[in-house]
Amino acid sequence: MMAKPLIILDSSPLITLALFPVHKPALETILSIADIAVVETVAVETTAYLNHRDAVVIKKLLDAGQIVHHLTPSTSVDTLIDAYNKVDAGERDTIRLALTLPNARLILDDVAAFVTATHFDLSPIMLLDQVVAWVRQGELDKTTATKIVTAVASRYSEAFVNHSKHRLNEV
Amino acid sequence: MDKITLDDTIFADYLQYRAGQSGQTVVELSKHINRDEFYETVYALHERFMAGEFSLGYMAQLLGITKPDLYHLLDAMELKVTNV
Repeated sequence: MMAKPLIILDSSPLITLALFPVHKPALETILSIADIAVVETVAVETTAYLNHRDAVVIKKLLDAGQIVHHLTPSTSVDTLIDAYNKVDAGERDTIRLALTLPNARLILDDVAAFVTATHFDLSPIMLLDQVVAWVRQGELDKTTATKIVTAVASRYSEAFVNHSKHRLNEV
Repeated sequence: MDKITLDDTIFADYLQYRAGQSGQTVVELSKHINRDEFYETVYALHERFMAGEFSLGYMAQLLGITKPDLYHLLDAMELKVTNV
């Protein structure tokens, strides 16, 4: 049996997948096609207040080991990463983790963090683009993917959502 | 008294989030934070976030709440959490 691909999630895509759709968080669907890793900073940040529904979902999956959290690694470029002051701590640590897990796919939904990651020769991808990629690769069925994109639409620009749906229709 | 009833659930949630960070009670905070100014501030900061001026984490810091709380606040206000 082939190992599932590994994805690294920053807090924004992690919370989005934990929050929507309401009846069955997309995180549970994604876990059937990919292993998920997060850096400690993101794990702590997203589960700090269990009054949020997404925090409960994330904590349950972390406690069960279904989402693996890694201590923030040290890298030789830490000072360079930290100099990007428009990038939040969780995102900077997520970039650090991605540098130590070169086979993992880095999913970032923040523009500044995304651009910064590319400066470190990483190839990040936004969540909706990754959903489209899974469908193209036959990892995720189109109906489920469309449901996910529709459910999370309020968090993204209308242009990006419509484009993602258009690309799903082309598959 | 450490509880307050507010008709505006978005503003009430914000006060709760901020109370969680500041250590002040919701009642204390409600005496100093004006509802209309709160909305004006969030809309103005969000516009700057969408323009790429700063991150959501920094916006959360300016509002005195955590980043996950800000996601929920923006969801409730039907404002985007990604600036693409």
